[in-house]
Amino acid sequence: MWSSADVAQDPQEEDLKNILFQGENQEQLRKPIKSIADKWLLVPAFLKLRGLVKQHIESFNFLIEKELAKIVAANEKVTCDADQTFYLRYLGIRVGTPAIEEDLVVSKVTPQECRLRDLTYAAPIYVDVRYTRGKEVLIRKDVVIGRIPIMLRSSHCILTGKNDQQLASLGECPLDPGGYFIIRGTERVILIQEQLSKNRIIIEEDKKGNYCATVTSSTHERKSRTSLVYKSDKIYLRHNSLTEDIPIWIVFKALEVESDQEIVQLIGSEPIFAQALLPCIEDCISRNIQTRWQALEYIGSKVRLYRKGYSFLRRSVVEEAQEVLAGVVLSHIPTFQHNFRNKSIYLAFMVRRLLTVAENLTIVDDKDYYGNKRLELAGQLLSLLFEDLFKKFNADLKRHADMVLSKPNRAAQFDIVKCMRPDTISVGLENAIGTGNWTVKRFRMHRAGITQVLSRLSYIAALGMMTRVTSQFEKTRKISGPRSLQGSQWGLLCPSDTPEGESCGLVKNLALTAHVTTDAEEEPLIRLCYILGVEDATLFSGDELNHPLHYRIFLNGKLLGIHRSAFYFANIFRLLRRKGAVGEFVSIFVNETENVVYLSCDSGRICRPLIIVENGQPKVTPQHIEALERNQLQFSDLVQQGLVEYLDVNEENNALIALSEEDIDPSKTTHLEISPLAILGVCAGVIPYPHHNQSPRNTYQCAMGKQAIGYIGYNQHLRTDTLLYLLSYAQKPLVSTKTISFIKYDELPGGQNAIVAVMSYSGYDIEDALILNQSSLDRGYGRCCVVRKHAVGLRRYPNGTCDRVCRPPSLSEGSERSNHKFACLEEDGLPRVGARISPGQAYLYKETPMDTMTTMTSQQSIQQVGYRAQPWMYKGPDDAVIDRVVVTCNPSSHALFKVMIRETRTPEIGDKFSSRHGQKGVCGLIVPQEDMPFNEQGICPDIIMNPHGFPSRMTVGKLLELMAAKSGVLSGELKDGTAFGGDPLEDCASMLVQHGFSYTGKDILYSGMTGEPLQAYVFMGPIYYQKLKHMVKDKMHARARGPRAVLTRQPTEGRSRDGGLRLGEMERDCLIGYGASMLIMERLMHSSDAFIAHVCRQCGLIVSKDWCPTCASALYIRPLKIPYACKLLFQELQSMNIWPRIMLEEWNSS
Amino acid sequence: MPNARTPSIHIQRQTFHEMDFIIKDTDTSVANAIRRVAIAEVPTMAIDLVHIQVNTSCLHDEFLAHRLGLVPLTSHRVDEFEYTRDCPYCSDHCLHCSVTFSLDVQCTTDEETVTVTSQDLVNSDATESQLAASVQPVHLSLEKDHMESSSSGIVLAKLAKGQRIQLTAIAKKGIGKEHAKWSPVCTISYKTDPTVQFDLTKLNAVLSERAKRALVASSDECLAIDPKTNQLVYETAFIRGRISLPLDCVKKMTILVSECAGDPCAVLVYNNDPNQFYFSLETTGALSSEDVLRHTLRVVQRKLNQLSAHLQSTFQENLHALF
Repeated sequence: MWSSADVAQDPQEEDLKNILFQGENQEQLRKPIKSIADKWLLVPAFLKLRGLVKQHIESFNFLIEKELAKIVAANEKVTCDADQTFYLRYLGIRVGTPAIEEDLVVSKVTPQECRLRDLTYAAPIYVDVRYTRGKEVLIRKDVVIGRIPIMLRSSHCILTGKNDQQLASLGECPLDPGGYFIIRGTERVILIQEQLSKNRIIIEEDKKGNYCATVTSSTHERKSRTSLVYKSDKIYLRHNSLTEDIPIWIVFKALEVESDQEIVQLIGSEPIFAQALLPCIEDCISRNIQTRWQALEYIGSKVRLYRKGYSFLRRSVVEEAQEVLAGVVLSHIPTFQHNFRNKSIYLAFMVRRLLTVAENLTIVDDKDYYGNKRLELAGQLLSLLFEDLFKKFNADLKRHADMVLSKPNRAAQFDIVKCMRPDTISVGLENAIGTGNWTVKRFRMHRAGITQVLSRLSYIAALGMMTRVTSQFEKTRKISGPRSLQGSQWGLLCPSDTPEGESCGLVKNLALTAHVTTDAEEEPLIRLCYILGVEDATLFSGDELNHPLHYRIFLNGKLLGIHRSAFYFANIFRLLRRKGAVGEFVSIFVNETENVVYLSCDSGRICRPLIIVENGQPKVTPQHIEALERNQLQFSDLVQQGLVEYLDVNEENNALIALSEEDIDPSKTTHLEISPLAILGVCAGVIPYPHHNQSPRNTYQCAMGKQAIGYIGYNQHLRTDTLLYLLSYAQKPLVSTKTISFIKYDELPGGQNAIVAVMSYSGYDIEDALILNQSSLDRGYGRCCVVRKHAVGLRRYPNGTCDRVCRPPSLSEGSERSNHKFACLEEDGLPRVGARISPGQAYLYKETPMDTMTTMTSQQSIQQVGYRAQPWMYKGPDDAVIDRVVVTCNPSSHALFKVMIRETRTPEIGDKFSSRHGQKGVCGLIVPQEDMPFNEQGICPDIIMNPHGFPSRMTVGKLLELMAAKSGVLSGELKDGTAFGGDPLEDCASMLVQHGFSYTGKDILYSGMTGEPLQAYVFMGPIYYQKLKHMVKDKMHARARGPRAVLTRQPTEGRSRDGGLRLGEMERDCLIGYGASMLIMERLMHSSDAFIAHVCRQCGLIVSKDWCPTCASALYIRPLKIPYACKLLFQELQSMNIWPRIMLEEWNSS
Repeated sequence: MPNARTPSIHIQRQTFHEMDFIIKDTDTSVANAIRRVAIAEVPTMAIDLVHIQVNTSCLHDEFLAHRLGLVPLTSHRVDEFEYTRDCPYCSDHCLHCSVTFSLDVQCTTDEETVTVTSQDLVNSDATESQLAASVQPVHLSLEKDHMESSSSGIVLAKLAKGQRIQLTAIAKKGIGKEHAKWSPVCTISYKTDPTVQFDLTKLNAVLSERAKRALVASSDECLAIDPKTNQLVYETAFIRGRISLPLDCVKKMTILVSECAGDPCAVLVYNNDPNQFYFSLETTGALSSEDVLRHTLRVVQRKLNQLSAHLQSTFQENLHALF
């Protein structure tokens, strides 16, 4: 047995020696290279450069600085049909600093002011225009055309470039990541949208199982979908603007490729393709279409006519067909003056790819492959919206000009600048971001839920929201493909952080080092490609194009040309990129199966930085890392020096990436991972030892971390959120991770380190319930503070009167009761800060005018108007304290009062807690300290957790966290539990032994009640526990009697309305099954909506108590107890001309 | 014939804050009663009511009040105070049942934040009564010299420029059962001698080097080999009573010792005195460690007295009922 093991070890040892010797050789040749153990330090360097929400901010900056100018340039001229000489031309556009106009005074605003005053944090958009006024040509500068909401910490935000102290003086938290907007006082995030990439060929199977090659073309003007379908051995072109599928051969003929041979050559003259194309040719011949003209006529007859109403020029059928082929089909391939060569080559390539799949040479493309995805960020989404609004703005101007200039005689000169209404753009943008409804008319796009309110439950929740990616897939569809984790998502999307339930896998989160690209200029790239030997495709014949050594070069889905040695081209290109000659985010990907080189510089590609490896040596050395640590070097320097580069998903296919230095194969490896911890996102990065946990546990923690109460920001006491949960004594976790320090979770933590004993106690700990120590709670464990906003606005009425806040009547006169009611209020009708308020007391005394309708003539009569009291009552479960009163006004200068009411809560039975391992539990019992078990040092646990929580959950990470934390506490240092690393268990165990504890982490505990030692050792130590926002106080509800709904007279629904508890259908069924008819009667009628109806025995109708109009008699009326809802139903039926009759019999007739 | 025992206390180490002692010749129940009473039922003084006049600090009122409550107050004359609820002299609170402190700190400098500590609590009743003057905050701090009066005090809050805290705090008498702030002890615990241990001198003499190592391996880190002397020693965890010898280890020892021709029974030492409790006690500073123990025993005693008094009265009632 031993010998066999020895034999097995031998070759390994030899290998080891080989490696060692190799290492020595290399050491002789070069400078000694130590392993870069601290290469993870690149991650904080990366985050320092780009921040946590870099993708949002960069995208928004791109919009403001570049995209707006492009949009204006594309729509630069406004003309007028009535006056041909009239024009308005935009010369330039720029965005100012965030400001607000109040009473014609423009003043700068800070984000915090916007939050407090319910303003929109927006900046004016200025344009320079040249336009005609009568005969003159004028130039006007800095004309405001609207206001655009500004993303916090973007280039135009006033917070950028400010240091911590300046931020603090602006009322801003230095740790706040920015990247969101403030719309009417609420913070809203534009979520990252995931989409299938545009302008790329994707081969898929359609619903009928036919293969098709689909391209979604997208240009500024148009979005369209072109498919080639392979059905019954023939290929057809399918497009929305065509009424039926067109045989491909006819399309080619219409695209000026008339000879069959040429078409076949374009597609590929390999026998297998030629064979496959025969049916297409036959089909074409059978339709008797030979010439281009015939083909165009055929297509023209199939064009779907959208044009509604009148059109100026009725075009011929042939023109129609040409128009569609030029502008609509594959619209991203430009056609100049009806030269269709580019398009025919592209179409031929599509056919070729379709045939390779149809002939089983390759398989269909994977739609879920992340290289086929693009992420749309705030900038792109806003640019879509802005362009639409800008077009509308210009159309409005044009319409106005048409209207005014078409009038024969005008009083004054027409000055169009005076007609510019900034509201179109301002309100459009504000409403879109404020509601999340994105309506773009050009693309007939209507999407809801693009933006969401930034969750400020905890710091982690806010951060997690900024990295969220949502996809457009329907949530209801039961498809697994888009939901499952794809291999290509490695390092880009967090494998743990996704919600459970319907949106599982559709909502994702970016990994720590993922970066989303913005658009880069194509022009210089195209020039560079031609310099590097790319030859224009239109110059080649079909056979040359399809030569096996010739690679097609695509740039953003457009065919640039072909190259004779693609790998040489790709290598040179990469070299240039590393030298900085090409943008760092341009990707190049050689696809050998398709003989294509794909270049991409479009926006929304997701990429990540990797260390470049050359000749088996990573280019980043420990010296670089040291320089980084000393701040002598920035991450961007490493990129510039060509030591680190960004790879997108497609380019990763051309790379061999080693996970660690030991894995480097000198002949093959091209890149080295920066750190494996970077595959996790922000939320999963908080978990210690996540690689020891069962994976769903990490997912649960990702969801739960967002509900943990903790610190929200350094400015948490200045904020006026509707609901704020704040932990009194939040602690940084004893077992930290590297991600925690990167994202500064240790500065704004969301939990406390509790001493946890894993043992059973009392039976109040079944089903994950926790036992808490009363003394720990007394000393401040889990103590939190709930601050709720109560906002009151004063209205102004059309007749000039308005609401007022004034001195409550009781302060001078009034009864004992009303004195109590207004006890918290001061002279001005506002509450006293620091006052204790009980339910039923007023926190604001408001009066509204009695008469708001009649128009007042004089100031005097306005003053004479009477007022009705309208006090605002506090409705809380318990006493609370007035925390702050904010008195301000919103832009329409209506007074606004925000009363923040604070409540301090200690944990109670039923409150929810969770560790960082997806192990949640409610408090089942609070035990006095003397009854808690204790060890020989006198340590009592804060929490007792039932050991049954472990076996089925398999959260080994939690055990490791306890061990690490216990050893850390003893040695007085924070321990590290980073994913795929962290302090090893052995170290922790030996540390425990050093300090005189059992290496197992278990202690002898004595029962607090009997004083005897417990029969077993107990695993005890500190674990970081989070208090979750779900507290019984907010949920507890019971009702004996209370309010009823007006219509049905049944008890109201829901806790907020003090509603009843419903006895539903299933419960009713149980009672029926059991036969408890009287109980049913009681529950469903007597305790609900019993009503005495009067029924006329003769006609069977519900009538009034003493007269039946139908029978004209009062003799037969009998009282009848029925549910009110039943009576209502009968009456509603009667209103529909259905007469339900109740037939009564005398009860004691027998 | 077992005799009634007389328990005894042997103090091993004693400072103002800490005390280690042994209680001999008694039961777990008594030892545990002492522990429980010390935690929950020894009265001390602690701040219970806070009137906040000005608080512009970053901590809100409840937060500050909670912190104030946890400041230990010297309570060596606590017995002379009444519980407020049954104070015969007043209806609200008075000098017989409470002590009033005031605190007024303001930060005026721009450079540094002002730290409000327990030292800023001024006993405003000190001039009026000797008894009230005896109640003072305990200025524990993290520094080593927390015995000395020069310690910096317990931090209550920190103030930036322009911030001010002005309040009066009323300390009352109470017990740990009501709130942990009235508990006079930080920790109090006891341990017993290990039930089974080895006579290491005999064992070292008998066992070979290899046998020693084998024994250590099976001992779950209770035993170790001293690298200098090559002798078996106990690990600290075992000495402190945090772990005990596993059954496997004892079995192994019998095998090893009999292999080396020794008598396993001679090596085994049973706990001959299970009625010995090694206590350790640490106070919050409200009472001296000695006082804690004294008060504890007094509380226990009073309970028993009350019980016997009750018994007496019950007898009497029964007598009345009979006749």
